Amino acid sequence: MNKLRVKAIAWKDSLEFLRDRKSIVLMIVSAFLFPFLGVFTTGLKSHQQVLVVLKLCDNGSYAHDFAKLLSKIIRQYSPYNLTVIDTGDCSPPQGATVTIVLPRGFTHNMSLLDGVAVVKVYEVAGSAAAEEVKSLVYLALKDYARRIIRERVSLLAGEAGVSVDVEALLNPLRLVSKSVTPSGTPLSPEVSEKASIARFLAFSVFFVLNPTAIAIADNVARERESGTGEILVTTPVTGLEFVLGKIAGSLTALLLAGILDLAAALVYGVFSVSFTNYTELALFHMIQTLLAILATMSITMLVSLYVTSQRAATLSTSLVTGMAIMVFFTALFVDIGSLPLSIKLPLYLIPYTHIALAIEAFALGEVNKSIMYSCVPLILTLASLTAAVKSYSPERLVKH
Amino acid sequence: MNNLSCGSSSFVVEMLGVVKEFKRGPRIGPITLHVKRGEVFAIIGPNGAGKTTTLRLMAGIYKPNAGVVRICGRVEGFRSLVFYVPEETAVYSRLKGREVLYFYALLYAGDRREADIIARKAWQYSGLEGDVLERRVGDYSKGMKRRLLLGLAMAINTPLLVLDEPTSGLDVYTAVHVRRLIRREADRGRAVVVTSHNMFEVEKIADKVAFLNNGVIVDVAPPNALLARYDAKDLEEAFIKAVRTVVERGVW
Repeated sequence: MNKLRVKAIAWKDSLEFLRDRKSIVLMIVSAFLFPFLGVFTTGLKSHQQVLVVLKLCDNGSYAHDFAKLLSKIIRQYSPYNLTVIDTGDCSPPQGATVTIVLPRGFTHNMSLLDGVAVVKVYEVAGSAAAEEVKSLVYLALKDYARRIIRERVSLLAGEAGVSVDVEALLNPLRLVSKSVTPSGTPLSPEVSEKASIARFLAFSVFFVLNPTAIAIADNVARERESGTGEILVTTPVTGLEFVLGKIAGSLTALLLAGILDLAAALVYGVFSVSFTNYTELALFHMIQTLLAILATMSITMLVSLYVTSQRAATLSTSLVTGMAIMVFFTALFVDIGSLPLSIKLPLYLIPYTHIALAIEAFALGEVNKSIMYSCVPLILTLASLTAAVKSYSPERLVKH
Repeated sequence: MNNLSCGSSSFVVEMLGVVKEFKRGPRIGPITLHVKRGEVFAIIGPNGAGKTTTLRLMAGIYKPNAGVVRICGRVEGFRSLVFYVPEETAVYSRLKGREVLYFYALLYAGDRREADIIARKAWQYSGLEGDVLERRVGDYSKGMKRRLLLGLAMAINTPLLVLDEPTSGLDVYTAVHVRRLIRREADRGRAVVVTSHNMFEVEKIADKVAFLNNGVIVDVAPPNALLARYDAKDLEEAFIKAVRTVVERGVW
């Protein structure tokens, strides 16, 4: 292998990328736009014109207490305001997204030892805000119901002349949970927290894979589509030099994408969360990100050498990144290790599965297991690279 | 840097019974031809005759389905012995002219110093002004791009120079410049294989001409010999007569 030729290809591809101003502008825009859109769409919630009305058709103390509690909960957990209407008319008003009605008799029923009070909710069908408010009403109901039960139990105990620990009576069962590793070793709360963070860290690996796949596919397809490949393949450049040069050349695009993502994360305050307690995990995550990048590069390179058009190359990147997002989403919500073998096996053929598992194992302190998992993407990368070098054919890089 | 010697081989290019077939598209061959050192060998023929495919076989882009292509006696690993300039002068448009020269020079050179020397020579041969080389190739005309690549072709001393339609689409001044460069390189001892639609141009520069039609070589000889053989006043007439003769003989 001639290192000079590898460096020459990498240098040329880097220069071409750095001079493609439009692509760089789009990379900057997308790095900052996506988190902005996330913040923006969340912020839109508070700009909804939502009218939440509480109609007090009962003037008793229980009704007023419940109104106070509901108002507090809605203010605390949603951007909406509760409009309380003290009225005899209990029909839902026009234009309200949600109307909560405390009908006549609410206080009376609450004050009885075995009375059941009713809270009526009228919601506009299909409204996301109405669904949200309704769930807050349930929360208020649950909270208020506990207060009433406490009152009633105290009253009954008083009547019976017995002393009762109301909380113990209401909660005869207590949950004591402890985190352990899959092999049963007890974990400290810190390690347990680390394991939860690891799931999200594993998912975050996905974000660098899209620019990786695009950079490689574009670098190969462009040679073919622009016609420059016709000269390049007649030079003394070998398959190995071509593959390594293209990969090294794509690192510039990747580095820029990484810096932009980091800058966007800083701007949007992602790092207000302290990672100082998780330095080792963060470093291991970086190694796994690198492995994921290498695996993506080698797989995309192999596919790009076979497809014959820019369009097909772009579609192949979607395929690779689609596979990655499927795995990382699965790892976020599913314990891959607990899946039946028939599902686990195909997942194990995808390098990203092992990356997600390696991060999780490392967070649980299972270092040997995490190293074992890390070896798989490394082996798959080497296998894909070898296949790419063997597949290199000048004929495929030339327009016919 | 490569030198022009071809070792013990008496021919720079040997194509022996070469056939190339495509899944979709015409088949060419069997083609047999020989090109010597210091010779300008022109392949002429109509569109779709197989000229570019023949050149791509020589440049190592295509592998033949049958037959042998030997460059300086080698069947494999001959790419460092060939410099190929395709008809479509596709050059990395975001690079400056100077950078393009340096990039290709790096691919052929043993080290950066040697690459510097090649790139500087290529610039001189290209005849492009220094400030032009500081501009991006995307702003170059077709003629300027071709000059850039031909400059490289001159500076990288491969025994074989393969040029596909070197003067197509060029203005008269650039075409004259290119023809002079081709002749000079052959006089330096390189084998130059060119294709062309322009038979008058071929008559001027070629030492030997191959008539290619429907993927097969109809005749090969020096231009004067072809004119005499077909009793023609120019190569155009000779080509038509050569093709007609073959058809009448019922070779196809």
